Amino acid sequence: MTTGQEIESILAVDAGSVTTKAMLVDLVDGVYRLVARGEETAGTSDSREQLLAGVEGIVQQMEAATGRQLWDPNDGLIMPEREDGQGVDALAVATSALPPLRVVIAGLIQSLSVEQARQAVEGAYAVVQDVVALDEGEQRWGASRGIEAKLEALCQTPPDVILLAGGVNGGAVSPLLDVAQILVALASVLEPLQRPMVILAGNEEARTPVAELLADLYPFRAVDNVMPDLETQALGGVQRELERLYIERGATRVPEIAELQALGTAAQGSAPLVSAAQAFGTLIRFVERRYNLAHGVLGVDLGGANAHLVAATRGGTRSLLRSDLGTSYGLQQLLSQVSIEEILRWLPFDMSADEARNRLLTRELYPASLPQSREDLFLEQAAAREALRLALAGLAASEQRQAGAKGLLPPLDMIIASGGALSHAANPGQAALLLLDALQPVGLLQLVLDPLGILPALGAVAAVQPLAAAQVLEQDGFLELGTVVAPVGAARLGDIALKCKMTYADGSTVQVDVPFGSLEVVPLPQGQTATLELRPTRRFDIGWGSKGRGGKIEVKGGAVGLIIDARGRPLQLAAQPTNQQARVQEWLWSMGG
Amino acid sequence: MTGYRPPVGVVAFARLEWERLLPIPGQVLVRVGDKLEATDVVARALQPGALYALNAARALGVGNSALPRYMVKAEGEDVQERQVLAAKGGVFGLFRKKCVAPVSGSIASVAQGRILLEREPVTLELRANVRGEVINVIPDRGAVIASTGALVRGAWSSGKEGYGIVRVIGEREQPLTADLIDSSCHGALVVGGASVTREALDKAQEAKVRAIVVGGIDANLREHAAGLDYPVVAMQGFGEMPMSQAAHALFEKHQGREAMVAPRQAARASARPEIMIALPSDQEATRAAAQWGEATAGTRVLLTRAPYAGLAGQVADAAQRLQDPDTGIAFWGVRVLLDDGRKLAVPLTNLDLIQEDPAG
Repeated sequence: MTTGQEIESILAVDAGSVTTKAMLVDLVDGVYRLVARGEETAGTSDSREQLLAGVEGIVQQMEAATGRQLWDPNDGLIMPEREDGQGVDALAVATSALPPLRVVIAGLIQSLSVEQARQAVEGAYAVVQDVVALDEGEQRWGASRGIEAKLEALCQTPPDVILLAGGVNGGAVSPLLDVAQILVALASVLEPLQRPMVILAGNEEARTPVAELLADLYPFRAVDNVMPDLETQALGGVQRELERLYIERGATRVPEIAELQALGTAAQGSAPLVSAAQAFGTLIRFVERRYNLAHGVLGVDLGGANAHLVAATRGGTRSLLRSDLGTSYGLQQLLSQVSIEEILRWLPFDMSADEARNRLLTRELYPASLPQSREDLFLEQAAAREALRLALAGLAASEQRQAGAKGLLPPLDMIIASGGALSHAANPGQAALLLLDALQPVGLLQLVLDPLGILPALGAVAAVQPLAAAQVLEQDGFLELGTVVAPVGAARLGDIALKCKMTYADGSTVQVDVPFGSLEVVPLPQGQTATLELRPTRRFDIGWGSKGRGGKIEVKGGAVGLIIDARGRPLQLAAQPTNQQARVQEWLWSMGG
Repeated sequence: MTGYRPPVGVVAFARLEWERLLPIPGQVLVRVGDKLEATDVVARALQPGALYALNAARALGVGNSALPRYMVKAEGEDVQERQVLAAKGGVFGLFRKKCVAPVSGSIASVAQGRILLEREPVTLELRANVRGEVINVIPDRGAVIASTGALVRGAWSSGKEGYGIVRVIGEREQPLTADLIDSSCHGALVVGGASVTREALDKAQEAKVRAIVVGGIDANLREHAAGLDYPVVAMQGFGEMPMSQAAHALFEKHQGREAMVAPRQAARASARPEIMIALPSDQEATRAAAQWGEATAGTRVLLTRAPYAGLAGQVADAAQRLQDPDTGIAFWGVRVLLDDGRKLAVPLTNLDLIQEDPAG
């Protein structure tokens, strides 16, 4: 901001649960570029409380790399940028380092308001600790012993938030008041400091009477009804409140978060601290708008402690954040939700269930560590597939099964993927195969990887200077894996599903007949384009209107190339473990090992 | 480029500080300068009793709003186990419906047809668990105790804390089986082998063992171990994993000394349990144990991930970009010359540091 007008340089920080990353973005010849980056790994939970120390350390790394002073030993971060080029104009910070909020949903009807409330919670850094629904067992609170047990548990382990949902606007108020009465009684056994925040996201007519009962006893907020009428879902109010609370609670419990927050807000032009999930969502929406994608983009961030999916289409944005699924801290919880056999089916070799469980749970004990054997590498990638698969199922549920036939993803233009399990794959092919197996996309789309893990930080940058985010993304952020063609249909294994002819820019051509059940890669390096002529056979649909319909299209290359996934949707797996292992090995070979 | 600093996994001798805190506010019983034994109580708190929610309206067969009319005991009143809290009389006591207290406690509230009964509070006593000197008092919560000794950081613990006399039994690379545990293990912190059997865990409970420390434990035994009276610590992880020679040698050297197991309290699994062996020395003169350090050329390190978990060696050169020949993964790491003569490229994130005794 040497001219006093424009933000030219930005320090962006992403304080994660396993790693704190930072990058320095600056104008170089009129274009925003990533000029330095660094990371500190949180080796133990103690580092969680040393976020600022972590940031200082990274800044020192960047200072050493660029020869530019960013941090003053007395005054901290130098802002705005000085005439001599020292310091930065703005700071953008995103964090996912804090434990998720624990939420108890108290609602009226399990299938309606409670389900909406659950979906709202699943879009934020929060986990549903318990659900107490009025219609459990018989009608009215009080039917089954289950509710009593839940109230006892609620007092034993008070959540961070009680989300009170129920009723459409203008409906009866008394059921919500019944629930509020129970909360009044619970207040008598909870110490004031133990009392969770109560967020009312139900019938808006109940706001005043519920507030009269609860506002003196609990921290209390009323937000938009998650289900204002039977046809409408409105999750934004709850999600914004949970986001605000997540950051606010972090600032209270972890002093360094407050200091980071203060650093950011003190600087003119800087954005307030945001959760990494919000930053990632911002970025994915940004990509969808910038490239004007017809079908939309799916963002996937599979972190150590969270799995986050954001689907941005012209129709709007859907997001699902599972704070109980991840590739390190989240493994124990993953194993409680999928069978070990479901993980083992993605391995190209035999391993006993006990052995796999022991290895995965040991991995969780060393969350920042990397595999040092082929067995551990493929096992961790197998677990990542299942974590993504579960998260996708959650997103599909939240879309009320509108996602497409048989629970498949709807057609997309692009999948952007971020996260340690992907960026630490041994080669781009492994990362691409992991995404194809877990997400099973259909039609034609681009697969893009965030190899440096900078997307959440870039999302924070987008809030400060959108052009900077866009230019860094295009110049430095993306690794294009390639174009995927994934026909939907079924035939006998080995029957031809698709014929294709690719004409390169130099006029040379390649023709491939792709049998059903196979995975083929046609070389097309990153930065190159080619004309692709596709002719699916009569049982297969590539999303061009009907089965058997083909055509020509310009496609982009990538680190893997053109990937033709004719393995079927849903993916056909062999029943016998040894046959399945052989298939996985073949797929790996097809994708480069 | 990464600034990762590996944690220190084994400390041969150092000054150690222990934060001993109550889980809830209470009364601190020690002062700065107090010399404490392991059994001394540092702080005490009254933990509110568990809550019982009783659906009294249903027990009486009345509507929720009618319950207050049938209450025999009032809000705030203390009640004994089996006492009647609410009753709806029949003729001469026949067909009388009632709601009785399942435990002794007090009536916290009556609402929506329910009686909320709060059990009597429980007194929590926080013991020092370590011999040392109080150097700081944290009001209402506890104290920081300074001591000297050896420290090892494990991978997993069953969650309890405790202390006992160090006793090494069996072989480092063999499972700890029930036949190895006898009455001589009474009161001991038993250091065993590469794993532990369920039978050995049960026999240790009978023998009143104070703690079991092994290299690995089958993940299927986690819940069983958590239910025992004493803490169980796995130094390397889950499965059969020989304890590192570095940690095992420390335990052998200090057999007969008092040791304490501290399960680290934190929200995430990365919090590692610690075992401290108390060794007398001049606290002021001894250097403090580090949490993290630098893996530079010459540093002694322990490898944490399979297939090398527990192996020790020496860092051969500066941290750099390396690639694992088996997995193909590229990482920021160091080359380590293992004690068995092999040389490996190891990610910095897969290392623990060994802080050796400068006095030898």
